[in-house]
Amino acid sequence: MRLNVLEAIRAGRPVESVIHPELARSPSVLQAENFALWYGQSKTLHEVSMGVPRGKVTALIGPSGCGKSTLLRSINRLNDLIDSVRIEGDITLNGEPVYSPDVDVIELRKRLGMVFQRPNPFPMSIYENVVYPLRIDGENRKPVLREACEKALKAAAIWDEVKDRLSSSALGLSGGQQQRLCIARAVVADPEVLLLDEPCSALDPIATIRIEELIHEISSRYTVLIVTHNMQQAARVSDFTAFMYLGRLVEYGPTATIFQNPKLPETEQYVTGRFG
Amino acid sequence: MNPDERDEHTNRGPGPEPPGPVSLRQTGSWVRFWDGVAGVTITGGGLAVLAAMLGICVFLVASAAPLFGSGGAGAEQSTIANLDDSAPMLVRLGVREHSALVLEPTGDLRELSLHTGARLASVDVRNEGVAPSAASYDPQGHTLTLAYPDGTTRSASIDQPDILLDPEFAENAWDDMDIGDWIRIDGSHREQIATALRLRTDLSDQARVVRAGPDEWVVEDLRVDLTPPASIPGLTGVPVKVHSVRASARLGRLVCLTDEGRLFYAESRRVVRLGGGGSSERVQARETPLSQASPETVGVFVTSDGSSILLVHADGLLRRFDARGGVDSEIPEVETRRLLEGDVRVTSAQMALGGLSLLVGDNTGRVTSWTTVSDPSTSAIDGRRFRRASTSSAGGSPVTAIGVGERDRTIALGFADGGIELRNMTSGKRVASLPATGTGVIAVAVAPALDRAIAIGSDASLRSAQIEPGHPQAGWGALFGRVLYEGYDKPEFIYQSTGAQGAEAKLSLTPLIWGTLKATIVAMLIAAPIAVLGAIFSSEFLSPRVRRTIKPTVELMASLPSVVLGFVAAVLVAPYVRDWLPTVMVAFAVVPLTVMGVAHAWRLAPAAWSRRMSSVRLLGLIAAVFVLSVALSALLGPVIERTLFAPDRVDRALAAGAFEPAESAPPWLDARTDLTVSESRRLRADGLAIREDVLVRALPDRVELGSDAGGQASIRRWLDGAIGGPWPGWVVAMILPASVLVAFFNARFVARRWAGVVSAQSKRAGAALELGRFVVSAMVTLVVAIGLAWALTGLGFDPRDSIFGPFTQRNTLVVGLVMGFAVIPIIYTIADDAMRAVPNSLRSASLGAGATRWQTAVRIVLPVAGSGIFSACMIGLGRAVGETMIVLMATGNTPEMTMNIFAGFRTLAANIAVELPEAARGGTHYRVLFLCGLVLFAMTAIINTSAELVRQSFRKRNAAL
Repeated sequence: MRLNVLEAIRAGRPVESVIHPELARSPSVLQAENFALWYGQSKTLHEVSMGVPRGKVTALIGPSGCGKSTLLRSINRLNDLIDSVRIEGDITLNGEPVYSPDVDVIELRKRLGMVFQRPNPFPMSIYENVVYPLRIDGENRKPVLREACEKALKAAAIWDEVKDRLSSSALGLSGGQQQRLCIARAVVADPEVLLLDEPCSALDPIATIRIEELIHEISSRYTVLIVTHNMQQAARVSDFTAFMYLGRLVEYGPTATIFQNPKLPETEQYVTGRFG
Repeated sequence: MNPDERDEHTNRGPGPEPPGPVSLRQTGSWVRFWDGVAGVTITGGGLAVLAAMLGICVFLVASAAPLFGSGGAGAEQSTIANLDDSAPMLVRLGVREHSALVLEPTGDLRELSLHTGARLASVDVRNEGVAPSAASYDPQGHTLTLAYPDGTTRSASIDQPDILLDPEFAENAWDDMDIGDWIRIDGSHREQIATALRLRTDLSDQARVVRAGPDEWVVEDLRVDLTPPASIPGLTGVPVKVHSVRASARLGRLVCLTDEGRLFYAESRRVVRLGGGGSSERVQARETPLSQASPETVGVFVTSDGSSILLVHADGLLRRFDARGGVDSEIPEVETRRLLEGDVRVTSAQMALGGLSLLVGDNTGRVTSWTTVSDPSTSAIDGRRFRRASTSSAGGSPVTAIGVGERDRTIALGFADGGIELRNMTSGKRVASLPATGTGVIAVAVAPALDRAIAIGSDASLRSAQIEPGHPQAGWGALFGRVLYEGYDKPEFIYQSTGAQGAEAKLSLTPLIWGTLKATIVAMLIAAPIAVLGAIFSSEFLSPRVRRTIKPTVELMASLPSVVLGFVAAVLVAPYVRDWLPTVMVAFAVVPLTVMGVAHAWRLAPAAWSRRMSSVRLLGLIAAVFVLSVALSALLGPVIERTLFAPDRVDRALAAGAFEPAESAPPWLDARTDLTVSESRRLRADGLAIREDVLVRALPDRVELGSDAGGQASIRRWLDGAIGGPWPGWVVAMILPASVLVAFFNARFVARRWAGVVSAQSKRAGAALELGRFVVSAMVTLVVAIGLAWALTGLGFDPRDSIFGPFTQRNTLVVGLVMGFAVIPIIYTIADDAMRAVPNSLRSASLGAGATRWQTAVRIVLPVAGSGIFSACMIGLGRAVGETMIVLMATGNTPEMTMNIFAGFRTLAANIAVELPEAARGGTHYRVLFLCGLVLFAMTAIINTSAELVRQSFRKRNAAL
């Protein structure tokens, strides 16, 4: 049995990530370099190094608690808000270090759109939800907001469903609609990267399909980094897939390769559902 | 035990148990028993709580409700009085209320039994065989003043002693008497009784024994002590038609109208001879010329303060004479007015108890009460005017007799159709009424306790009736409205439950409700912003670790007993605020400005500093800034006091004696020289003042600039109205409105363009620009405040008439500060919980979209937690409304109704606490206190209900979260 990569990880030994050569050829918009993160005493991310190719959909897969979401939240520095967090290494966005002292965290977050596991629309009207990122940026001109709102809602494929009730509460929408609204809110300010943190985990299958179609559509315009624990979803929507385990990046390559012909048998076992 | 553990456990056993037959197990009987017990207990407890609440409410209502009800008349009896003449000059109830004292026109003072009409006693009050022509009775001094047709006057003190006899002694002598019978004490008994009782005073020949009950014999007597006749100078031999008297211990006032229509005013002084030998009356009199022939006169009266003589004529004309100068000066006629409209005629007139109001009954059955009030606009030379205080509804039959009660403002009215009515003039309430008999009432009287009324009819019938007075002084109008009380110039809201005997009870709860609201509002204005901002800070900005220490600490504040806080307020805060008044007032502006200024400046600091800032260090920094701002206030306070609240040029000129007589007076002054504080302020604003009763104009040019005349600058002297003009106070008062105005203008017109300007700059430059904008805004606020102050001063307003005023040490501001301190923890902890309850997913969403923590708090957390924060404020409000000890100890408990934040006040709760010990159970005062409780209950119920309604609507909006 050659399960010793995972065993080595469990034993806490450093393991070299297997990164497919195709990735080196695509220019990356995000790049993590030996990025490590501690919650208090426990090390949650172990020296992760990976790039996210521009204009592609990249999926992070792995069993629960493997650090996928932590990695995602490290990119827009949402983890900063937790007192005990400590990091090492760095992440760069378009070559600019995210964790440099000069970085304005607020500006950084405006360049990264984020969608969370559960739909989390604000208790406001649909319209106000979508334009929220613009409003906090000081934009109050009605025509500008209207236009941006329509564009974002169209991009999130929800415009036709809500265009007649923009002023009614967003909480009246169904779960799937709420999640698409959140995507609209994430893209309204034209982010450089869209971070999706298990966006379909709280949705029913039909809503999931709509979101997946949507991810597919918007991938032509945005770089998407999606965390999912649903292997089929990763296979359906992503161009590249990274397999993480206990805070370490195990294997990272084109989705087709990862799912059909991975370099590590452990990856194969995971994607075929034999452990996890 | 969770399922996994159980599996493990069974696995470790000797082997898997064989699966038994599957059957539905019955719930154990014990389980069901306890379930039933718990159900019954909880339901019962809940119902008991509801019942207790309802019971308290019902009890409060039941205790207060009688205040609004009227009394009633009880058993009535009628008999024929033993009278020589059916038109008695005076009728009063005897001390034991089973007899009537009647003064016959023949000069016979009789005591008549109410049961039989029989004569119990009879005293001759004639002067050398001449019957008096006029009489009046002063209930407070128990003195009867008599005037005789020959111009002499005598006064009689009437004493009605009643002495309980020893039953053993009495049983021997009068066992055969029936209850209610009486027997005159004649010679043999007299000695016996006097010995048995060891009486110090002699019994008169009118003394009698009455069997009042099976074992109760009472000796009753009527002793009349007549003074020797004193002649009124100038009046000798002149028959007096009507007269009236008001007597105090030292000075008697007497006014007489003669048959010939001449009016005399006399003052009698009791002169006590040194070295013993008793006293004598010295009477001085002055005749007042009557300009016109008097029509038929109903009555002449002198007010108890001796300021006015009133002449009431049957045609409704009233003539008032100014008697303030007494007998030593002229008594000019100052006012003539009609009391009644149309051809309504006065049928009866009487002075009310207290001797300041006149009661006038007319032929439509109406009674009006009148009083003299100060009125600057009147043309009368004494600056007073006769004004109607209250009017009763017309009854139809003419009022023929008015009897004045001796405890409160309840009067008895007799009508031409024989009806009798008891009416309270303060509350306007009809206390009781007796049906008409068809025989006109000639005289009517009411017992001091209002429990019996008697009337003599034109057919010499003597009616008497038991009365259930209820609560005559209370009523909707008297408890909540403005009432023109005796001795006041206009209808006012006054609460003054206890006073001298015979004083008018003033029971308006409005000043107490006002005090309650004032305390609550000031406390909430201080507490709510601090508590809510504190909650925002701790829930949104502090690290959970620090928050875990801070929150219980703040909650500990709530556990401070309010009596301790009240004590601290009274002995620590109040003197501190008094001594450091400028600092305290300045701090309200300086502390927020400093904190915000430092916050802006902080953005200019290197980013590395803010990264190193942990929650604890941040708290330390904030505390330091706070201390700094307080120190700054302490520095600035005296400076501002010196510059703004100094004596102005007019004050200095007046103090230095640089003034000359003014050539013209403002029209509103009309030659008066006794001015109120606010009037002298108004004069000073025009450069005028009154010096030694002369209107003078200040000459500021004659005073050198550096002169220190006029004394030190002082906010407290300014508040008292001694120095300075209105505008510095307006500047202070207008800072808050001005800052709201500037903030609004900023948000509405500047913010959008400004955001563009700032975002184009680098981070540091943007921060510098923001700091600049803040400084400019603060400056603009100050300028706007000064502008507003100047405008308000120009319009003639003075803040010392509204939100400021004379300083008292225990004032609203002190209560606001300390009660705010008491309320902060409640609001803080509930608001903090409400904000922590906002789902973190919303915070993540907002932060992930690039919002700052402040934007997240204001735009997302606050609206979502709105209902919780609102209920936090409402619970704080409820606490403040009901708070007793702090206001009790930290205010003077003066039921004032002013806006002045430096005045004391009294709240409903404090009123109950202060006055309950002195309220007689079941009395009007006692029930008024219950009404206070009920009003308080209603206020909190309204607050809580509206809070709940708002909360429900909030909750509905956020239901889907």
